[in-house]
Amino acid sequence: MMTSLFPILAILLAGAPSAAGPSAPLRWPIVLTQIPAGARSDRPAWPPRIERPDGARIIVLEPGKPARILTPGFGSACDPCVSIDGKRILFAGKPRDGDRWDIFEIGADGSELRRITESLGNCLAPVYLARGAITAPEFRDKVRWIAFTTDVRGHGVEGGGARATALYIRSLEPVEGRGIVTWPATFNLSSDFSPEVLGDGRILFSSWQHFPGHLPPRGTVALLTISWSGEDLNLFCGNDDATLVRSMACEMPDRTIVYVESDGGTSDRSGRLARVSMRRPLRTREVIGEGPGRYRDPHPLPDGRLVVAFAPDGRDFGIVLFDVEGKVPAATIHDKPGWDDVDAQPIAARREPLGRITMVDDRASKATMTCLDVYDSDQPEVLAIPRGAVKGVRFIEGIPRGEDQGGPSSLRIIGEAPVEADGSFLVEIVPDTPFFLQIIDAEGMALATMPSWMGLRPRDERGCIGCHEDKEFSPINRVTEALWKADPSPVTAPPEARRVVDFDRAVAPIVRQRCGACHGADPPAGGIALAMDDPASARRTLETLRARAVPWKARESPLVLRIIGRKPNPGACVLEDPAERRRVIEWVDLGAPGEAEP
Amino acid sequence: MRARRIAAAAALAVLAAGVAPQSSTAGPPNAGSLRPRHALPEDDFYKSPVGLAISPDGTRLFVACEDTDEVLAVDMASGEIVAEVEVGRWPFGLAFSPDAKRLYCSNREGDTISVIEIEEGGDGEDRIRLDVVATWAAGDAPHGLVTDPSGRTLYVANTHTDDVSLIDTETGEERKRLGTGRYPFALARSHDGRRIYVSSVLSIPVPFREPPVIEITFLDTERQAILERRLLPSTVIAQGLAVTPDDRFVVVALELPKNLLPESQIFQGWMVTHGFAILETAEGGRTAFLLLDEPHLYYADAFGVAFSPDGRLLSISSSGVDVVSIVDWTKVEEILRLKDGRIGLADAEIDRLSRNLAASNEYVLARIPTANNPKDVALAPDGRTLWVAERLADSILAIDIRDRAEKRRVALGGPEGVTPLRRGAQLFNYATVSFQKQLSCATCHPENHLDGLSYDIGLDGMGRDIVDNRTMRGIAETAPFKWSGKNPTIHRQEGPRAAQLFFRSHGYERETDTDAVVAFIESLPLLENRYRPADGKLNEFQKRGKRLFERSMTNDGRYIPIANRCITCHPPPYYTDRRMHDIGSKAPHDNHADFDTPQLNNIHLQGPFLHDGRCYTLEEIWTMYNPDDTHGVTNDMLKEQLNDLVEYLKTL
Repeated sequence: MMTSLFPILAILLAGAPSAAGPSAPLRWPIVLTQIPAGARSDRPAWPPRIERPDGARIIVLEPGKPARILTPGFGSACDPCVSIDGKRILFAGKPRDGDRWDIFEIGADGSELRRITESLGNCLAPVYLARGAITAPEFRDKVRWIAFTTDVRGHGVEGGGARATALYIRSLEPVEGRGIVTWPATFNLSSDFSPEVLGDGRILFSSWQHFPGHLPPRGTVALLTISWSGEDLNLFCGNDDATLVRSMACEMPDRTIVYVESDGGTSDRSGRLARVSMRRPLRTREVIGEGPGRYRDPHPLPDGRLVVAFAPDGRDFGIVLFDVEGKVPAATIHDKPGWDDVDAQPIAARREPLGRITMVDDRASKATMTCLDVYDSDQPEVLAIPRGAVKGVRFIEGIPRGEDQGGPSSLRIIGEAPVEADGSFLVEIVPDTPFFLQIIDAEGMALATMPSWMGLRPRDERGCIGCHEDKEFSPINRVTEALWKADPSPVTAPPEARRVVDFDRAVAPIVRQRCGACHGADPPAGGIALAMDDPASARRTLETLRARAVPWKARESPLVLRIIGRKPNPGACVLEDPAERRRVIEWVDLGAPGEAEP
Repeated sequence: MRARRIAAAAALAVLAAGVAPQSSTAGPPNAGSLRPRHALPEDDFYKSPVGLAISPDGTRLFVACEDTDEVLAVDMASGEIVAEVEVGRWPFGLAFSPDAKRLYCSNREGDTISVIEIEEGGDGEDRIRLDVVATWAAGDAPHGLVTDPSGRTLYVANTHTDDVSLIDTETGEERKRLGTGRYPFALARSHDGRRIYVSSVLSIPVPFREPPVIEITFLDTERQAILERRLLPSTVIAQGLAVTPDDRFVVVALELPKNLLPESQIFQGWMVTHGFAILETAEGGRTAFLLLDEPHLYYADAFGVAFSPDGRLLSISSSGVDVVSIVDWTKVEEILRLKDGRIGLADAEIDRLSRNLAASNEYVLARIPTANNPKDVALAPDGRTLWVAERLADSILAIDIRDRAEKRRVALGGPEGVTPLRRGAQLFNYATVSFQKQLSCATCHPENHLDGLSYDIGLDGMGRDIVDNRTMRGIAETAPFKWSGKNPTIHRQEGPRAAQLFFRSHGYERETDTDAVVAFIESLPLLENRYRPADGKLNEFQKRGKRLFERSMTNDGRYIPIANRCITCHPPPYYTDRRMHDIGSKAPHDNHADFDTPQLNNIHLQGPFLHDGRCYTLEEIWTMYNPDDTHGVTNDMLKEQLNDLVEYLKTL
């Protein structure tokens, strides 16, 4: 920052504050991260890489004392989070360059350093959660839990070029009879990152959904909430503008959520400051800190003020107090030359977030899911479906690609379940498996596709009001037809029984058997060649069929309309076998996947 | 009561001398009280202000204190308590006579109305004198009350007999009863005096697993007759009501439940929502509903309602979250397109609004925090000072509704400390234990009783094991709990199970808090039974019913095995053997056939019946759901015998 050649500690040293104006002095020690200038990558943020620079360190600033390095000896350390009682600090650290990132905990005074994660991939962004017990029936063995991000699953993001991260939960202390307990909370094949705990106990986090076929090319980054147990995944705000990366959300005492909106131009996801009101997060977005300059890492102070990292020139970050009403930085707290000072937060006690006894039981082999009315939606695609048209729901599992392969996940169908006339369904489904669903018509053709990944935990009971219904509306109080029957359809096929629907496995055998007689001849019927004689002709056939398909939309695909006889059909292209029709339909509805190379 | 307080004062003195308090022993069934059985001497001294009335001259606020059975007069200018008078047991509502000379107080437990006369100049200059000059009989559990404009007739809602008594204020005699919805609660008179509106707590009988329906009864004060029974779909627990100054609309605080959905989550108003209904007062008029809730925060247990004199501000207390919401009525008019006494919105829009959690951002101007458990509200004649009864804080609060700020708080002189029992009562009524404050224990157990709804509780399969809600009164000795008999203690039920399945939290933060709630629930006695003759001698119908209850032979001389006699599984004193039995009531949605045997005390107040609440009357249990005599032998009984059996059961 141009204004500060030396660390500005005057404001910290000024002692007890008088009036709590926007720039009044601080009463609390501050912990922050320093990144050596130039260590920050200037690679663009798409895909939103969850990476941290080398050589970073965490320091503590206390009024009247010199800055103290909390993480001496670490190759790099960042992402501090102060404990609820204000006495300890979680952080992500690399003991030596080249190590993986792990989570550590240390006393705010620098004592009692301990490692929290090991061999769990690169673990970053730890946050303290509420204390909770998991042992039925009395649930007395309360211990402290944390959430963090990890790439332990080891697969690439769907766009390629980075390892996907998910939210994981871990106990800080051993649970009686079970030791340290760890579980996954999210099942997104792209990436979830930037978790924060809300006062009501939920985790608010950024979810990048780079969903095959249905979202803008780069995907969207929205803020979602989830329970510490991995239950109740829900949209919080920000799925309306696909160009923004929303992250680093924090809850202010006035029930607003302040977060950073980045246009994706920077790898650290810095950008402008925005906020929404908890009273209506989907409809109250307001930009409170705009350029020139970039913001990152907002955090509340106990007195309700906001502390944030700010780079007026977009390059050198310092820590500022931010005047939320005036919408301007009010005073610089700290700015060390040669370093980016980021992620500052007060070392102070906070209110214990609301804990929760989970319904999840990891010994269970199933989860249950019901939807009250698939026609209840805020999506034009769903609203356009006439009532009665939806006959079923298809559950599709995503299988991630390897770390460096990228590209869309491969898909397989776990199962289908009927949708009742009133739009309801009830299923038992395999837990801890990433899936999305499609609502389908009588022919099995997708009427709408859910554009994001979800997963249910063992014994989870998930209720959906609709298919992406307006989140500001509570459900209608009624017993749906599916609930009257109370007989859940099984969507529990084991992995080996789930159908991979790609060209080779699903469609090629049908083409060979049914189409070859006419379209394999020379000249081919209708001038459409569907030869499957060798890899090259099979590839051409795949492309020929794809050209007559609208991927993800069998209903709009000429190919499908022909084989089901819904389009004038001079030849005998109608497939009589319903199972064969289904396979072609599913292939198109799942994006007409298949390798272009033999 | 006074004697009891004196004894308690003596006990307090003993306590001060260092002697450990003695817990009172559990009394017999039907101890005859609705209030918690007190454990410590201090418990006798909590005031628990619940009902309010402001004198027509606007100088004094009268406060009904339910735990000390007294009415206090507070000088609104000075905040001084200027008089008090002992009334009947467990007072609730207050109403002035039009000439302001009399104040009527309903006593829920005594089933009486205390008639209080007010005289200026008591024991000191600014004191007044309050005298109970008469005590009139009302129906069972009188709650809300109001006079007609002439003051000649007092209308009293008898909560437990589903009617309103019309009492002649000259003679104190009841002249008439008008039927209402189930559990009539509060009354409000129109400004022109021609109408009285009655809210009700429980749903009228609806088909099994259909949404509950509340009746708001419109009474005509000239004809002293029912004008209309307005039915409010998918609502329950209607409490306070208020009429707009132009008499065109009535507002009722109520709950919009979600009891028919599986309790798989709380998020997004999935468990219960709280709000108010706006009723057109024109006959056959329509009704709209607005929520007080927000998408991520709920305002549980709406109770008291008051309009400002200009009709622009509506105040509603939310007793479960310690808040009074100030509503901008102009905005409500705009949203509902209220014009000429009509709601301009189409039905579909009304339905959507009743579920819109974000709409409150439009019409709620302010949320004013209160102390524990705000109940009744009353607006002073200045049109801006709203008084709030802070029931479990023993205080009353004045709010300036125009400045939207607290003005002053008057402590009513209860004990300063909080005993475990008091703490339990506070926690029972406080929604902070639940995720986003969506519900308190009292949400489903108003007045420690029940909401008459059946629920689809989690972990046993969605849509499966539907269970009827049960009372909290008099259950201490009736373990196990739940219809499935799963919970051996109230501690298990109210601690981890309630937290996991209802509140979606980790329950009370401290173990002592769970203990306090359990102690509170265990202290709730059974209500005195109104059907049992005072001398204990059953009448001939009841005697015949008793013989049927205990019989060993059918009408046609067949022997009834011991295991299949009523009294075998329903033995006194609680009329439960506390075991699980298969009585043939398993429905297709049930996972098991065995159910906990319910206690039968005050069974007439416990409906609907059977484990899933499928019966609204006792008789249905035998005539509809006992075809094979698996729930006792009843199929040979004549109609007269069934009548007798019901008469006897009501006395238990």
